[in-house]
Amino acid sequence: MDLSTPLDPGGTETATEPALSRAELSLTVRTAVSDVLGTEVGDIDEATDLGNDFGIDSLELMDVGSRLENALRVKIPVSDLLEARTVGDAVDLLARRMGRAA
Amino acid sequence: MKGASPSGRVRVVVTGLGVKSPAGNDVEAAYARLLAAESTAVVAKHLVEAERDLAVEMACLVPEFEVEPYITRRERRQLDRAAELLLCAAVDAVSDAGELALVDLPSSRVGVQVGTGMGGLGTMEGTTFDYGAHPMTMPVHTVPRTMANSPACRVAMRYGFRGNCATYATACASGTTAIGEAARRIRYGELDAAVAGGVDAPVTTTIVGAFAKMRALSRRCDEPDRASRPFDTDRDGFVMGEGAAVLVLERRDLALARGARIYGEITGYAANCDAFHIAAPDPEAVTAAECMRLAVADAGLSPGDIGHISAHGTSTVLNDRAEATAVHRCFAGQSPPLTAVKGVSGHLIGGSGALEALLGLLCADRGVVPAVANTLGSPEADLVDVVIGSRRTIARGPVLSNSFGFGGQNACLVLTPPA
Repeated sequence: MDLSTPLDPGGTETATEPALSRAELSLTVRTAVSDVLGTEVGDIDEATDLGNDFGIDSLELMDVGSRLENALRVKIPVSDLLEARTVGDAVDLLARRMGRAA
Repeated sequence: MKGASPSGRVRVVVTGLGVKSPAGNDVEAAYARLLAAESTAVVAKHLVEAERDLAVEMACLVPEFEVEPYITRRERRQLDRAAELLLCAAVDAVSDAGELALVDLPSSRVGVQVGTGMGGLGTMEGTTFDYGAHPMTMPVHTVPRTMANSPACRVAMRYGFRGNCATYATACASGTTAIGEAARRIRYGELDAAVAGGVDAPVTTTIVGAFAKMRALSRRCDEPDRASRPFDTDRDGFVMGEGAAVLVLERRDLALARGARIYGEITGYAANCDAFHIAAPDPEAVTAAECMRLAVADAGLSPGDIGHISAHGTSTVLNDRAEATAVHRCFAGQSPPLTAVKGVSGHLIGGSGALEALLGLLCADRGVVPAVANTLGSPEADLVDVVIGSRRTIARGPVLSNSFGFGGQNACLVLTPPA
């Protein structure tokens, strides 16, 4: 999946669309991460620790954030990116940002 | 000084070669293509499919090859095409020289010296098309992908080479500048080894269009494989090419001590500037002739010692005529056999000087001067000895490799095969 183009081509429809499920949100995050790291989506799960497992650098982390911002149409503060240790943490944070219970 | 010969000069040898070029993706393939004197120019599908009404849609392209053995998917996403081609050619050159021996040197004594005319301009062009209206959606890696020094720094990062890492922009002479400056840094005592070369990836609609607007490119679009014909009577411009060539240079005494294979020696280098016109060469060619003379003198040779010339020979009337005049001046009418790689490879801009130095050294070592591809007869035949029709056998001896860039940039190398 190429997240450089938004998942939601309609854009303005976002607000009225049904909320993403936790599983969908997780897939979106894992896809963004695997695109940046050049892996398969299946290689990334919620326990994946981007720092320890992949040595992700700060630019790559910003790249993940930028892809998620484009895909989800949500602002992601740098502090969130730095705070999330595992992919699962990132999904939880995003779910909160998007105003849904994790 | 450490490593100095009895003459006091530190000698610099070539111990590794790598190419990713239209003529081939390994050194022997490129050499064979050069000897066959067959042009590599084709109609470039991606230029045609862009439907931009370009006046010129032909180019010399690097044959497709597997990049994954060289670069992981993760790293590749962050690389511009120029950086990718240069890094692949550098990996070939470093393994050819002996990777273990190079990384065994003190890392601060190994440098990377790269020439590029366009740098990451091609990627910036694509970024502007794709994200220009919404800059904040552009990829995060845009700056590191497009900055001109990325190719050199990627090589340094790959191997942990911590010595001087510099990128030179002398337009079409950039690759020659990089090799000459690398050799100087070794002579000066700053480095023991350097990965040196040139690259460009300029086959994009905007860059090709820009050169076409200058009328610098051949319009022989119905016969691409006949278009690049340096020094030929019917030349009408150059053919754009892409690619990279890389040489590993080492201090001769250290290379000998480790038993390295030695392709030859960088014996002479000189650079100067016409200070005449921002694109056209000075037709009197006094400064270009002086550059050749200085390079030959730097090698401790006289013009009569040069076995053959690998000309800049772009296939533009202005360049070829000025270059022929310069050779005539420098060699006082006694031109050695002269060939021009661009008949086969097209013009790799910053990559050309490196490719031509590399192939020129192989020819010098093997005693062969390839015929210029496509060239049937030359109006400059009274000034220079253009090799036309079939290759020439010569005594093994030094080659003079010329590069002349927009801006009046002149750079010349003398490369000498092993005794």
